[in-house]
Amino acid sequence: MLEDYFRQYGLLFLFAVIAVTVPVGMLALSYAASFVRIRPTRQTPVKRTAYEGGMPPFSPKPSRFNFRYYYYALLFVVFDVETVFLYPWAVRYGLLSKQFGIFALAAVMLFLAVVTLAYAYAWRKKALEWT
Amino acid sequence: MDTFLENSLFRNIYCNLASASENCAARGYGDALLPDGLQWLAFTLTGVAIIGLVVNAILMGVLGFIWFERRVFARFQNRVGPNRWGPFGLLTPVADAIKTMFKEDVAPEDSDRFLYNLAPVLMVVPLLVVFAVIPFGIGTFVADLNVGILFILAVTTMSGLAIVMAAWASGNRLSIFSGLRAVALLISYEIPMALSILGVLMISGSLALGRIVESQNVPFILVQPMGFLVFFLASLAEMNRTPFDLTEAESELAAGYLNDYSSMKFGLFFLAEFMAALAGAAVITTLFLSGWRGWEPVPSQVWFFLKMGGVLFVIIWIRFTWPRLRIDQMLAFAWKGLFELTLVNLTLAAILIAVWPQPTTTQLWMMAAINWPVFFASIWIIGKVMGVRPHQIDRTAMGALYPVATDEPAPASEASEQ
Amino acid sequence: MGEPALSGLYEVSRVVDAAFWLFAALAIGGAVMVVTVKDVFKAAVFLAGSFLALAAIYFLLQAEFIGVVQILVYVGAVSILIAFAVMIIADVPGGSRPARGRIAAATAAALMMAALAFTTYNTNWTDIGQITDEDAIAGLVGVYYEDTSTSPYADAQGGTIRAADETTKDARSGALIDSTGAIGTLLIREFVLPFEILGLLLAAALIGGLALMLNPRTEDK
Repeated sequence: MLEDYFRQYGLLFLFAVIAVTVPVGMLALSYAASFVRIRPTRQTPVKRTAYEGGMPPFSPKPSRFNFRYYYYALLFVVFDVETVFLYPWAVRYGLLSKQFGIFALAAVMLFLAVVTLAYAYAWRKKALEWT
Repeated sequence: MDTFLENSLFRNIYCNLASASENCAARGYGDALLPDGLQWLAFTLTGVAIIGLVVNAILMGVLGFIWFERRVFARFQNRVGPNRWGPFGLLTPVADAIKTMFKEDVAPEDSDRFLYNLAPVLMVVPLLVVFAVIPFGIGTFVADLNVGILFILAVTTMSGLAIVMAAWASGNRLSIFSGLRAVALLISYEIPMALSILGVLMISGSLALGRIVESQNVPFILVQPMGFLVFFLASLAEMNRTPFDLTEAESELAAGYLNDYSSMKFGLFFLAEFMAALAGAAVITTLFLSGWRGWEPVPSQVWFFLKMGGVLFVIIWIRFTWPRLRIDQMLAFAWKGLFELTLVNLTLAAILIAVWPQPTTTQLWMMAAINWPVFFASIWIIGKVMGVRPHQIDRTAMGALYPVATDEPAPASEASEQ
Repeated sequence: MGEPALSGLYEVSRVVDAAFWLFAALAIGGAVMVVTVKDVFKAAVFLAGSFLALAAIYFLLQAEFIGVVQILVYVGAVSILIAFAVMIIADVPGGSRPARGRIAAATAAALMMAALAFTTYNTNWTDIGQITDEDAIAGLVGVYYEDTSTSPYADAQGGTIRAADETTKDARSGALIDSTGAIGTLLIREFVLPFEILGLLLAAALIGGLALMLNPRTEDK
């Protein structure tokens, strides 16, 4: 059983290695084509500017971006963690509700209700709004 | 080693390679190629063979899907579609791939080289790895992990990081705007997606995709209509398809976060996009359409691919029928529409399972009978809550700085910003 | 399931050891890069890489669920949060100026490290193989039946948990392997109160974070 476990993950690791090899190999092949002069490499300074709708870029490197995306990232992290705690419960819920009856339901519904309160707060404060 | 040989693909290769395994002998395998003591080599070779098979199948599938999409697209528009290369134009995507590979590779001057090259690879890898845990048929899978579906969710979130990386490394304003949007959408739809599966998990009692398929005596699309709808829409958003494809809205952001990519690096993003569609269709098939289950004389693998093709067709159909949403509509839809729907679904499923723990087939049908009316009712109610009102753009405050797609021509201030 | 051959187990454990060192090196290397690299965005990417290597180590420890959660929450969510935060910084490639109080920070880190090392060294490590109570394992694994005859608590709700006949060695190692279900059982059976408090904590985190962030936005307008 334990051996099987590691073999499974060994296969998965192999899969990951091959999954990395495939795109890297494609890039390498494409790169190699420039040596046999199939792929052109004639670069000019104009080609190498960032494409911003045809205009020359304003400044060398843009920085300081919009703050509002941060709300979504924060919401995402919180609800992601919530989901993570619901998964193991959901998997055993059938067995648990046989054993504990309504308690297995009530415990999680309380948990959900508390988190949903925070969700309602976020809604109320217009954090879900794209202003 | 015992449970491992349930995997028929694995067994057929391994047992012919490795000798002296009583488990193989018990299943009627005779002499083997490799001498004793080289089981590890046999294992590795088998693994590489299977994985090579699956990866090649995916890449071929992507080519096939591109062809399929273009042909279907043409039919929708009353055209013929690509028909020059090969029979029915089957080789058109191959020609496209070769062409992309031999294009000139131009990287912007102030791009961050390391991240710029890493991003396309990181974009493709998670989507390939997804296929490692999907059961394509009876005993046809690479690894049936105990945490299968959670593994898929976890791995696919990594593409968000790849998008940020690509956007940032290009050193381009439009790329970064688009990349941030893309990631905001990705993470917003990740939550309803993850929550919508919970109903399925409660019924099947396992995270392993193999078990989930086996427990679908009734396809879960019938038992869990709300879960299916949310999961389907969320995965459409995750794979950047219409009506949620506004990260690539040409009219606003040029080509989006892959604006400054060219040649094979662009090709990899392209590949990732189509692979995402395939992966999404495969996961939907497994979770909701009872995976490889079907009727006897037709092999299970064929059932799986038929269902997957059906899902892909629906995805294409949606793409060519619906217009694209605005970003504020999309985010509101994720956080206010789908999120609430999943909460309703979760509560209802939990109550139903409390009534019928470990349901039989009849009980599953009864659940379906209860779920469908609630499904329509809650969609109607949430539609009322969200409302259909035109978006008011406050041009003085934000509109000028962050243009949103509208039907009206952009005022002068916005044009200069772009 | 037959007893696995000793040689096979030995092989697997050797590979697992090698993999552990590989991923440990990757995790630590990634962490070192985070500290040394100047570009803040690159540091964030290396941090994600370090998280990923940690997830691999969890998988090696047979904590599948924790490993997947590590990827989902840290590599998927927290690194994006960090990347978004990085974009608010003014000078990303230049990095931040070296902070003062390096010696104090180094001392604190060293003390922390020493405490962790001490704890690790002095813990009496046990694994699932050493849990012998069949009923406890059955409860964790989910392979049990409810004994309503002998239990003093027996009522309509069901009885105490007894190991079913099939709770054999398979199930015992299965407790390790299906760690997700075991966690779910424990959350409801033993740790209900911490579970609810966790919900409160999440709600507090969200409300607190929003309250902190809402102020600058209103000022912007």
